[in-house]
Amino acid sequence: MPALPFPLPEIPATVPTEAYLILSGILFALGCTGVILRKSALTIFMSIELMLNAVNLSFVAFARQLGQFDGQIFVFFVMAVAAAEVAVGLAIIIDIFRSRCTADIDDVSWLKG
Amino acid sequence: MELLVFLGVAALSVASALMMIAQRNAMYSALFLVLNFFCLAVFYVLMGAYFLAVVQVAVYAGAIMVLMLFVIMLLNVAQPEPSDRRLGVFRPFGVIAAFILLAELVAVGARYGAPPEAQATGATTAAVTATPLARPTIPPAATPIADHVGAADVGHTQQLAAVLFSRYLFPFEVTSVLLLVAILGATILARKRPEYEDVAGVSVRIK
Amino acid sequence: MTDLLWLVPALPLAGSVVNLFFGRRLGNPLAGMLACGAVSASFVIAALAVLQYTAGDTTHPFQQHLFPWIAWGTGRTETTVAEAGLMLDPLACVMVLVVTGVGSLIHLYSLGYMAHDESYPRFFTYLNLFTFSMLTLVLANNFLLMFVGWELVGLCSYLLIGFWFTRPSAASAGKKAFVVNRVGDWGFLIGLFLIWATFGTFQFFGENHAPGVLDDPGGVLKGGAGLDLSWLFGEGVVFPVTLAIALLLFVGATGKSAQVPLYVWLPDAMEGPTPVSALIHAATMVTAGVYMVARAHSLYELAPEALTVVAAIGAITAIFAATIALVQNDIKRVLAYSTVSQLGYMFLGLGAGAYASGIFHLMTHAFFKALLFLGAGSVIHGLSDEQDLRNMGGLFKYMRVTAITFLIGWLAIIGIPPFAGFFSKDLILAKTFERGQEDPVFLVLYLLGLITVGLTAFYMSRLVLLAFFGRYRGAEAHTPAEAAAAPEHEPVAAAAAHDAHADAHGDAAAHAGPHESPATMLIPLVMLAFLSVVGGLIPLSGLPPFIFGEHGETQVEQFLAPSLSAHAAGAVEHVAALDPMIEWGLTLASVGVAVLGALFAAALYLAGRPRPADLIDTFRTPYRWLINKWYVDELYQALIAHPGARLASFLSAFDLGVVDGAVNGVARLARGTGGLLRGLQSGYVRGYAVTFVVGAFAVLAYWAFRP
Repeated sequence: MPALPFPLPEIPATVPTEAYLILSGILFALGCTGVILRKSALTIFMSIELMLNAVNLSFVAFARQLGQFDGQIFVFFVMAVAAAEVAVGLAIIIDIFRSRCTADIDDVSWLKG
Repeated sequence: MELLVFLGVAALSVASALMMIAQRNAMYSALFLVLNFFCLAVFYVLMGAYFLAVVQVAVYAGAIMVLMLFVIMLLNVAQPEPSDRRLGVFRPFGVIAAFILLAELVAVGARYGAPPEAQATGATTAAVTATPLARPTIPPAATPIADHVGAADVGHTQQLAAVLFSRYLFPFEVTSVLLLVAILGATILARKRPEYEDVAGVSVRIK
Repeated sequence: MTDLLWLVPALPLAGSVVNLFFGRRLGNPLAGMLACGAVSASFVIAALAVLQYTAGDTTHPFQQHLFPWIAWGTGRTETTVAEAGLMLDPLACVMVLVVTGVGSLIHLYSLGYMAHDESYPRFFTYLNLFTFSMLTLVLANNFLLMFVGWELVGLCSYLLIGFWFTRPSAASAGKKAFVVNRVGDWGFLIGLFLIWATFGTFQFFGENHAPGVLDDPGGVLKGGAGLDLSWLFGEGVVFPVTLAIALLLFVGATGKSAQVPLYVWLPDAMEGPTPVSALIHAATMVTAGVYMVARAHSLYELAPEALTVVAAIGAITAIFAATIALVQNDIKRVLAYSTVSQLGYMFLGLGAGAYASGIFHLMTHAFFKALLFLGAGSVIHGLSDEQDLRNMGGLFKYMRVTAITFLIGWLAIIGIPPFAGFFSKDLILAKTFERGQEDPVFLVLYLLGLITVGLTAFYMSRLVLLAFFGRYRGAEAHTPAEAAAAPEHEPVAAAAAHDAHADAHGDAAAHAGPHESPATMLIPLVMLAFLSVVGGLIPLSGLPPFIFGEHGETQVEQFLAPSLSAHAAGAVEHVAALDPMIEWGLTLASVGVAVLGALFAAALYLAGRPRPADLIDTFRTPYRWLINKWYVDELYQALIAHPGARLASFLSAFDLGVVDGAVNGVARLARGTGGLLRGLQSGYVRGYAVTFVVGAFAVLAYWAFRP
């Protein structure tokens, strides 16, 4: 490496857990934003999937940190449940679309109190 | 080296996430999400969760997103959706909310810190287990990826399976019931009703 | 037979209940005959019981304890606060015979009088109920049961006055009677409270070791146990409990017996059917006050000031009512004011300490006043509901029996010997004069009484002359002067009575001209006339006919002595009886005044010199005052009714505005809050999502920044 006039910061050889956590947080926040800001039901769904994956990421990071498998197993279950949720959710969206011809989430306000 | 990989893939994942939520076209959003999932798979590999990485690709990217793409195409919502007049002036607030959320997450994380380092052997995990096998060891993260190949000890998948089918057997069974219920539900909800008929490839209610 | 005493009130009660449930089915005339039979049977049993009792020892009352009513405490410490018990003593004997006797005659009379009324069964239900109530009142052996009877007769009075309730004047007259009575009852009730607090019992006469209120009205107080009101009046100041009780009970008597100032209901009570006026407002209910004071005489003896008050109110009422009666044109009104006046006489006698005289007058008055009222009813019936004296006249030749019996009643009431009224009225005046020897106030009261004799004679003679003699004025116009000075508030009774009775009679035109009444109405008249003749001469307890007996006590007084002798400890001792010469002088004076009054009336209405119209013109202002009843009703209206109505409307507004407002306000608050909260349920999924996020923020913030 060529010598630099300033000392290089200490670069850890491994990726610290905090980095994964921050990344997970960013992805989670982005997912939240998507849920709030988007109009189409499908897009909202995808944002939710993003949030779930962000959480998965942090789970695995902690699993590695603690040296246990529990985190990974939890991720396994999360994926299974996410799959089920997607299946049912999409079925609902399809049904609503059939009767109302809209996938706009603001149009499904029939439970108005 | 690992750090560089991490940084690059992380940047890619964040970028794809941003693109996903910003896209007007649902199809594009889905595709960006798929890209995000791939990035996550890479992370899993980096962290040594090989099985999960494969499952991520196979289930999430391969099944779930495909399903969503099917639905997008079925419902023909791939057109760019009109801009949301209702939100209008409040749009920046969503972004601000995201930042607040992030800040809070960081604050909590900083407050409570990272969990303590595990022992290298990992033989002293707290939970009581009835597994007949020896407590599997996780190769330390510092070990380069290449060193994992051909490890003399039991493979990662087997270790995962050992824990899954012993300690988490009950949740496993319950999850299978859950999946069954989901299948039934999806089938019933999405089936064709007599009052619908296909109009231009889309089932439209006729009553 | 005395053991069957309980049957005496029970039979009319049974009759009332049967008529209540089955009256409509029994119909006319069975319902009436049932009622009549019940009261007559009561009379027979009562008479037999009285005979049996008087044959024995009359110094102790006969008591029949039926059942304990209100008990206090449990087990061994259980004491009976009040019981349902009956009692027979000389005073009660007189009362029960009067009530059942005159009551039966009036029931018989009503069979004919109410024959055409469509609410025939209801009338007899009420009438029997009234008889039961009155009998409870006179036969009770304790104050509380007497009060029950007291209240019940008030209720029956209301029901019967307003019998034709579809007529607004009748309905309001009933209300007026009840409300005014209530004022009196308030006094009675406070008196009852004081009695309980002071004596610890309501019984009149105790047994064994538990003395009743009247056994020893002074002993308890002097002994020590009594009402300790030192916290109210300060130490050392003795609260005059007996005086308070006496006065409060008298307030009740004022209401029930129509004395000043609570008499205003009685004239209006003439809205009711005439038998009701005869029974309730002449012979029985209004005498309840007199009976009560007589019964509690030993209490009054200990509070001489109360007796003076009683006598004074009595005398004032007597003359006051007599003045109003002078100019009334409705036949029943004249009789009503006459009743008020005669009741005043009774209280005058009681207040003078001559309780027996008051009761004696009560008895004779029951006879002749009932007779007069029933006679008036017969006249009204015969004239197809004409009640105005100015439209009558010369009825003697049309209704012989009615007229003759009415004349007998007339002679009795103005006090001509040897008719009944003479003896009792004369006794009262004599006793008042006697009392006046030691207390000059009573001389003044005597004078008032004497003047009233003259007034009574005048207005009763006027009534008789206008109704039965002279020319029949039929459907003529009224005489000019009396018509011009018509009362400012035209009594609706006269006009309205036409409607009710005409309806009852169906076709008024069917009766052409004045005619005599049916036999069922005439028989009671004759019997009452007989009683009015001999009532003063009735031998009592087998003693010889009435003369002034030994020791200056009359037969009546001797009979009633066990009940009414004023020998309580510490009572005022009376001076010995008057010189017989003075007594004869007094008698001559009262008879003379009565004859004078009658002669004056004859001069006015028979001979026409001076002409009544001229007299009215001369004394125009006094006449106006009299015919408007001294404007007392208007005074009460302004002083009490209007402020009361204003208070009521204020309270009503308060209730609506504040109370209802608060309740409604709570409801509105709930609805408002609900409305606010409903905003959360917008149905917008994104709104919900935002809520999630905000919630998550909050939780995270807590975890991030908690101390």
